[in-house]
Amino acid sequence: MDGLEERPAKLNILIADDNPTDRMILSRIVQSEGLSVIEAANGLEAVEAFKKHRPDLVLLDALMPEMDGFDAAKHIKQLSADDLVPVIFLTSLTDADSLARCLNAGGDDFLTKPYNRIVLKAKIAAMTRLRNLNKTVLAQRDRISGYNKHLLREQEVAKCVFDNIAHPGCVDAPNITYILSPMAVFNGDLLLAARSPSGNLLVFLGDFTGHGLPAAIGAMPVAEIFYGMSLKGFAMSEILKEINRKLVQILPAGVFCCGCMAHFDYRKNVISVWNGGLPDAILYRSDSGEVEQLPSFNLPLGILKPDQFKVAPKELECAEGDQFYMCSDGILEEENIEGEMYGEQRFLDVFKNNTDPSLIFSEQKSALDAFRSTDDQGDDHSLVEIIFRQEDAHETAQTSVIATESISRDWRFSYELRSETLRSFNPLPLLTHIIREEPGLSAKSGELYTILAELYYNALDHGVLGLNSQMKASSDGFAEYYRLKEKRLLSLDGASVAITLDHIPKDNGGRLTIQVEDSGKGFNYKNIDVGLESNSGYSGRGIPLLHKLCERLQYHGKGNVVSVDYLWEYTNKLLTKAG
Amino acid sequence: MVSNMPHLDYTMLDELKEIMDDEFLALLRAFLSDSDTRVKSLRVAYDAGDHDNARAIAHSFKGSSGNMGAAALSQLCTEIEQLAKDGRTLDAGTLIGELEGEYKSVATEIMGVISSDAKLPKK
Repeated sequence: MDGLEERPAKLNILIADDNPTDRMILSRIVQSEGLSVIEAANGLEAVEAFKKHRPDLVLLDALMPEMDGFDAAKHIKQLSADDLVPVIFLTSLTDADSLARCLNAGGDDFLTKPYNRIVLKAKIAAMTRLRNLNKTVLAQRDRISGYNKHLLREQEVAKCVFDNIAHPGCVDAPNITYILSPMAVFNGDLLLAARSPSGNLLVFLGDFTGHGLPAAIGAMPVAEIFYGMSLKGFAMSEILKEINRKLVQILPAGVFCCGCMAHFDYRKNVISVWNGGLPDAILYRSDSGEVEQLPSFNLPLGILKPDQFKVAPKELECAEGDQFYMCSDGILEEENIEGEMYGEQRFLDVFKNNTDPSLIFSEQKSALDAFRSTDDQGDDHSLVEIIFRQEDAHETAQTSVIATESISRDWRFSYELRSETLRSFNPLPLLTHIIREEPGLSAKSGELYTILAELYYNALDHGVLGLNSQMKASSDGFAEYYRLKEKRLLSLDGASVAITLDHIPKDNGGRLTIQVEDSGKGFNYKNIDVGLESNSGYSGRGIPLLHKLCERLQYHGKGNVVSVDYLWEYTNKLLTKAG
Repeated sequence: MVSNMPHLDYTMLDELKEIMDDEFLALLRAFLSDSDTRVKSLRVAYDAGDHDNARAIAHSFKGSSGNMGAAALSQLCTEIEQLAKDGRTLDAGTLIGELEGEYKSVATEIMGVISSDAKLPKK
């Protein structure tokens, strides 16, 4: 304890009475209790003595010359401020009005003359208890306010750390609009956005159970995993699995993270959505005004053990200008003065009543503001809008790597994936990682990721699984395509995809040859003019894109082997694309 | 009624003696010297028809005499205080006379206590 229990050796008592005999008797009684006494003969003297000695208790005669007890009590109470110094009035007044006047002037009690020694002793003891209680309360108040200040300081520091780790990534991109409390991290809300090496967009809105530090701490690994893995080109399902695995491992029981993740594939025109515990995500078709609700079919993150956690994102074909929405339940649970909840219907009505899609976000905001009708800014209200726009795909996060040395190495890497691995493993992050080890290719990993992804999925989907990309032309076929892919992957046997990376130094740079061979039956590439810039007829093989990025594209054998050359060179120490 | 009351309550005085211990005599002397002044100034206030002063003196004297166990004296003070409060100080002539007489008796008894107490050997 810090001295609260400590009692001063001797309490100081101020006795103010103009009558010398009364003063003498009182002093004597008080001293016999082991207390020390300061005497004053009138109100003025009492106030002066109070300033000088700061007594613990004041006995004040009501009627005195110079200044009476009522005025003296007011002065003394003012001087003692927060500190409770009990004032007991001494009076031979007995009428109710006079006694009330004593208390109204700030007196805490009164003692009528002639004095009764036992009553006086009891009153002094009671007032001393009152004073000690007040001291304890004040000390606790100061301690609590100290703790609070300390906590706020800690939160500021913590927030600074969180902001660095759980930074919002590219949420400020022109196609993303959101509302999120500035202290959202302490409310457990988290908004993350990143571009994959291929320029696709990945967005995550999370809502941890609980508030404050426990909720905020979980946000850190989520952000680290999200940014780390999306940069390396991991797929959404892999990132979600890793986040879940980590949260199960670190979060105490009862703390988990409701979240919704969406992947925007700008080349395939597909949005993949995984919703685990957040309110329905919304896909708004800007041409038809149609609203597609994407409810949660999954448990939140941090609940299921890794082997029970399966990710099957919903794949939706989408068109330029389509708008996607995610919100935390704080929005739908917002209450108005009558205690009525905002609810999903009001949220959906905004879409229904909208006439200009570009205004939806601001309409959602003003509808909510109008509903809650107070200025009280809700803390855990998060709403995010992402517009599907091709042009934003080009805003690929540029890793401005500056070469410290002009190195180009001579190496070859071969990698073969067999049935079991093809079913569940995504080799692209590993391949990207190997490529990034070549200093000159590091800054090109975005383009190279795109090339590798094209080649690998061509080999897997069309080569090994024999899927026809033309199925994806209609939205029914689109769903069927993914259903078939799942089915064929499961029954895969004796299949393989072999990838070879071959890097040779050249002049001021190098040449990377990528060859991919699959176990499929191939296709008649000889009928196709591979130089054709049009995508028609064999979309999905992405041949025009590969042509644009590579020096050479060649099919071999029965059409189950393809190789490309990618050339690069150093320019002014900054790495830029060759040719 | 006042005339029937004892001048001093010796039970109270004994209690006071116990409380005050070696300051008991000093208390008695202080009472006499303070009271002499009050009785005289009460007469002055009466002569001048000064209600406020008369009231204040009577009030204070009421308290100190009460504490000393001089109940009859204290009672007279109460009555004078009430008259002064009502602005009838000039009607208090008889009472003030009685008070002076009562005080003389109280003072005599107190001096008796002082002289007998002073003779007792100290513990």
